[in-house]
Amino acid sequence: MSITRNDDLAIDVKDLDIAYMSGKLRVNVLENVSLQLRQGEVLGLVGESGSGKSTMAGVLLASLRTSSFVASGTVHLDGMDVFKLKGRELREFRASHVALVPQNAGAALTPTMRIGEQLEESFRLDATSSATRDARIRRSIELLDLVRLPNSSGALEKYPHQFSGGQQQRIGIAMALAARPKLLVLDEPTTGLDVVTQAAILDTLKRLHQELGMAMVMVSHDLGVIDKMCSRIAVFRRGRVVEEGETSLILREPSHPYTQGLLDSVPRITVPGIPPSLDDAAIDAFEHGATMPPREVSLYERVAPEKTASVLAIRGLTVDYDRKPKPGGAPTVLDFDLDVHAGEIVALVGESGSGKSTIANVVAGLQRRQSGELTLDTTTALAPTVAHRSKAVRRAVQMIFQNADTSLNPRRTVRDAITRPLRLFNVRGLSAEEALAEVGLPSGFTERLPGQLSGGQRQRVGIARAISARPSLVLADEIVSALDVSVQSSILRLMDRLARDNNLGFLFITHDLAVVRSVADRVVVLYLGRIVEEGTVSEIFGPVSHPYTSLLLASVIEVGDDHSETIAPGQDEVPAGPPARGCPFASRCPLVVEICRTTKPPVIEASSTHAIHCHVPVEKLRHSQTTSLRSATRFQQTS
Amino acid sequence: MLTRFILPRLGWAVVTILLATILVFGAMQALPGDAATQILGQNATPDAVATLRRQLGLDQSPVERFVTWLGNAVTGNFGTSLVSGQPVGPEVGRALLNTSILAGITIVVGFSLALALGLVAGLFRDRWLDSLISTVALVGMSIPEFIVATLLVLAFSIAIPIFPAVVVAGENASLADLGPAMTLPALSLMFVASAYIIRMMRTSVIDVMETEYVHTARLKGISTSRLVFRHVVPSAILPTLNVVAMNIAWLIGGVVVVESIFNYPGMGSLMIRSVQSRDLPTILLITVVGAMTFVICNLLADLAATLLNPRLRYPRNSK
Amino acid sequence: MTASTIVVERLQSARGFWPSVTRVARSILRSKPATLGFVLVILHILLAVLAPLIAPGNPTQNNAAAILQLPGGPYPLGTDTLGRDILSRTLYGGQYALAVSFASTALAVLLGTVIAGVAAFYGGWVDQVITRLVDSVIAVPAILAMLVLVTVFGSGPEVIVLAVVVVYTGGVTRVVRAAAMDVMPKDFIVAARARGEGVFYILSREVFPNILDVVLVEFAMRASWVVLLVSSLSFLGFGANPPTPDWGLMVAENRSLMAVVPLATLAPIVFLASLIVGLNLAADGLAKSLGVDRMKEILG
Repeated sequence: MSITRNDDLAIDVKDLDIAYMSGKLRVNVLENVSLQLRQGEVLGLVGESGSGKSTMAGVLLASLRTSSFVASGTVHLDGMDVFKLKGRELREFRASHVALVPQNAGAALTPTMRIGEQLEESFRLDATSSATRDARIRRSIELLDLVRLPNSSGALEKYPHQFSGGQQQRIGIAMALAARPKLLVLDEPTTGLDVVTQAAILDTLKRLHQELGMAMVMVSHDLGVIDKMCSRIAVFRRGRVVEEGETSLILREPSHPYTQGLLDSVPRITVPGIPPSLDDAAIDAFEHGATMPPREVSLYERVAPEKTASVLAIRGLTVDYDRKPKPGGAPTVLDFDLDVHAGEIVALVGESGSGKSTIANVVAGLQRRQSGELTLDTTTALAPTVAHRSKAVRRAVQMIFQNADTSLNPRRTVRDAITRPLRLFNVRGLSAEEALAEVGLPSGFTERLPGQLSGGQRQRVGIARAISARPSLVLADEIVSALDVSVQSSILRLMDRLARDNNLGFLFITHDLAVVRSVADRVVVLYLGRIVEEGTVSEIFGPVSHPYTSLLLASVIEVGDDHSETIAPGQDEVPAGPPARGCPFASRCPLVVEICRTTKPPVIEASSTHAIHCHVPVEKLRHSQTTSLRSATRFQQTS
Repeated sequence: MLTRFILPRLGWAVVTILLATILVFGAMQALPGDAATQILGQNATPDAVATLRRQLGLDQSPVERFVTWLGNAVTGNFGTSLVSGQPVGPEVGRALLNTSILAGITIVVGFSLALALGLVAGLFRDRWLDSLISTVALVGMSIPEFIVATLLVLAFSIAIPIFPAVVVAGENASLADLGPAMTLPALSLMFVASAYIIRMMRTSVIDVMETEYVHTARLKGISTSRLVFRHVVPSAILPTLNVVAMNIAWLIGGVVVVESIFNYPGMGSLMIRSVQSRDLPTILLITVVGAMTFVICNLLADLAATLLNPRLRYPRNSK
Repeated sequence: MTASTIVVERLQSARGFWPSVTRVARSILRSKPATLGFVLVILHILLAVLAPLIAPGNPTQNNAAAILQLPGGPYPLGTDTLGRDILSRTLYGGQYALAVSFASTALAVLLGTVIAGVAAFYGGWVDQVITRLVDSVIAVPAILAMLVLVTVFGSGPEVIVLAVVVVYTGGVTRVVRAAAMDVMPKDFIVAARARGEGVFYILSREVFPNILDVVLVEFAMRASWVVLLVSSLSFLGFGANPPTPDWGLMVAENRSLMAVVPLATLAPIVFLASLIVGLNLAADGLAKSLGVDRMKEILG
């Protein structure tokens, strides 16, 4: 039997079926997949959760989940049939030919081993690099420098947990590159990282590919990331490849309705409005031979409400997690002001650790504050904790959570979840069925348990529970972040409708700028617990911004960008806490001047609604013209 | 390290021991009839009883007596045995030494064997070797010490008489006397105490084998021995340490049944005798030793975990 | 058929309380060891309950004319030093062990669960105090605590039950508290707190249904330990009072005559061991089908 063929192809997958047995039934995880990739090219695997794209990544390392098996087909890498390799052969193949950059390097690095040892393990077959201790250390530092890990020589003696998420990811990449693999497989390498960190890591990966020239396979749900990184793309849906080819071609003129739908449902930072959601049923019908309705991208553009009454006013809020103030430390949240009006969606934007969820918890009465006044519906002062709030106040403030998996009690039915607030707050004339109808769910769902619902449906139940109390203010913490993009836009539309119909004020907490652009009326940008900028959505996404907002906007990667912008080294290093004095952003700001480090920045009133907290004169805050130019061309592309 | 880690735990350890002593002291106060009637018997004159009560300090309130006892205990004076009239310290010390020897053998031989067996079972999960080891462990968990000991005596003292069934040397036995007699008690303890360690090690090896970092290490193509001993074992042994600590504390404090069956002059035998004779000073000292062993073992397990777990050794500065 | 449709079907079959009971039962029946465990436990319960009907003689009836008989005739397993029928004593022996063990385990688990819920709900100093007390109780060697309590209060069955509760409630509290602490930060609890729900509602309606699996496994596991402890106590002469037919007591009484009437020792040993093996297998099976990690429980 010949094990070698087609040496010029890095990857040659033929008619591959991967399956597992559920009882006596064979379930295909991958079905009839054929893919080819030439040496040195980059292939993107795109799809939603459960599409089989991660299984495909595993296949390329000859690794399957224990219950899965190759039902038919072959996988050749560099001409080698990988599923024919056994024992020592397989180990040596993995050690020399192919390497994985896992999604979460924090979990993929062995916690009890120093970084240096883990790196050396990966290149121990390389005789020259591993000959002497000095050579090994030299090679390890060289690898860490290659991935731009700060202070590379000091890193070897450290353990994985001593690095930030972004740094761990860089170490993971260094480890994968150590054996000079011919193929690098990256499984969602930047998912879960902050947007600036993501951009910086992708820059590094792109440079590494240009320098080292290995073939790469990149799994991602993010079309922008794929567009930036990959020369070829394969779109996965329910275990099948629905479309495959050159990235620029497929993303510009997708021929399969699923690819079209995916592209159309992504919100953009440059285009206002909520995109349409993906029509799964129509695509299913298409797969079975029906014709697809003509592609039509109708963005729904939300209109901010007229001046209405305030539902929440926060003045001078300060929160400190440390009971005893540390020298050199500063409160988690300082001097925070915010207004939410009836029917208005106010977005609170920031990276992880910016204090945005802390603020939501203070408003909900779950986190104590050091100082600050909170006023509900213009008249009622909000007591610091839930225990001191009247039933009417508790009813008026409701929460929706990020993770629909944990926001509903898995042991109690949908009806239980919804009727409890109805009874507790004496809401009359509303049944569980009606509450479900308000969020677009059939009444038959009342007897289901959360485990029997999809992620999007669970999130709708969470919303129904909140709004059935008939609140005036809803705290929505990252409520679409865990959802697939096709479900995301339907939840955003629901949010918009509820704000309008029920005159609800939303405090919408998120890190996703494109989502903000599509649904928010006003935006507050938070950095290390301090407001750096606030304004209407068009002002925040307009030409004049705080340097931090500009950095965030520049870091967003979208389909159709020219992908030439790069993040300067060190810009993704977030300090552990805010400085005691001066501007919180001073340590990362490209426009920093001396005064920034000593004095609290003044508020620049760019307009009556647009405030920027910065020492730099407003003329200098206008960011480069390219962004606005880019947005103009892109708008034509999509509509 | 010292101030951050050891001192607060040491403080809590002292509080735990104190609370445990109070619990036992309090329970003993509920005894009908006190030590004086106990010593003099039912037919003693009330005068004699009253005199002895005063001598023993029993005419004070329980709180006063506890405080007095505590004051003396801190200086190392744990009182005299109500039965023998000798200071309890040396007596308990001798018993503790004997039990420690027995426990020491069990720990060194039995526990290292148990860790190895658990590792093997975890690595060969659901194969015949695992089934065999897991079944032995299950049996070990399920059979009381007195049955194991009884069966061992039946097998090795009666059917094939190679080991003595009891320690005849009694109280003041020397080490040489105890040697051969210790085999069966040690075997009984090993069998029973190892069971939980085997299972815990197996479970945590299986857990670690399923982590993403072991998966990643495997995809790096490293050798199996390296995978097991560098990536799996250091993480897998951490949760097992607590079970080991619990078993050591149990060995020192509660080998009552085994010692009683083999008439071994250790803490367990002494415990039974002093409870039967209501010898409060001895019981209190045994409580202190038992609680102390428990606390120290847990402290050592925590310390070992800290030394083995880099997350605890080098906490991140932020947050 | 794709993976997602399978998931949906599985989810639909998991609806409601009774279906989930049958699902757990089915998954237990699929495992041979777990089935064996439940069969053994049920068999023991039946034997204990039916002992008066099936035992050939009176378990406490002395018979000076028939001491130390070998098996045969009216004594299928022979007699002991007092001429009592060993088979009858062995059959009756389960009554004491099962009744005392189940009563005390149930009490300890109930009490421990309530205390654990309170500790997890209030957190802060309440939790600190409870944890410290629990640690102190656990620090007293179990058998010493039992011996002291039995000496002070006598060795009636109610005292044994009380003593077991004292010794094991701490351990149950520790395990259940850890499970409850896992549930407390979940968003649905946060939602209930934000609504201003009280401690009773949150513990009984939101927390308890989610730790029921841990509590059940804890019960099965503790039961095996308690049977073991109670029989050891009887063996040492601090438990069941003669002439109560009890396995631990029987081993103690007849151990020295093992060479003469081996069945007098071996019969209770087989019964006791099979009950505990059964309880352990059942606990394992229950843990597996409820998805609870039994070994993590032991750390309590």
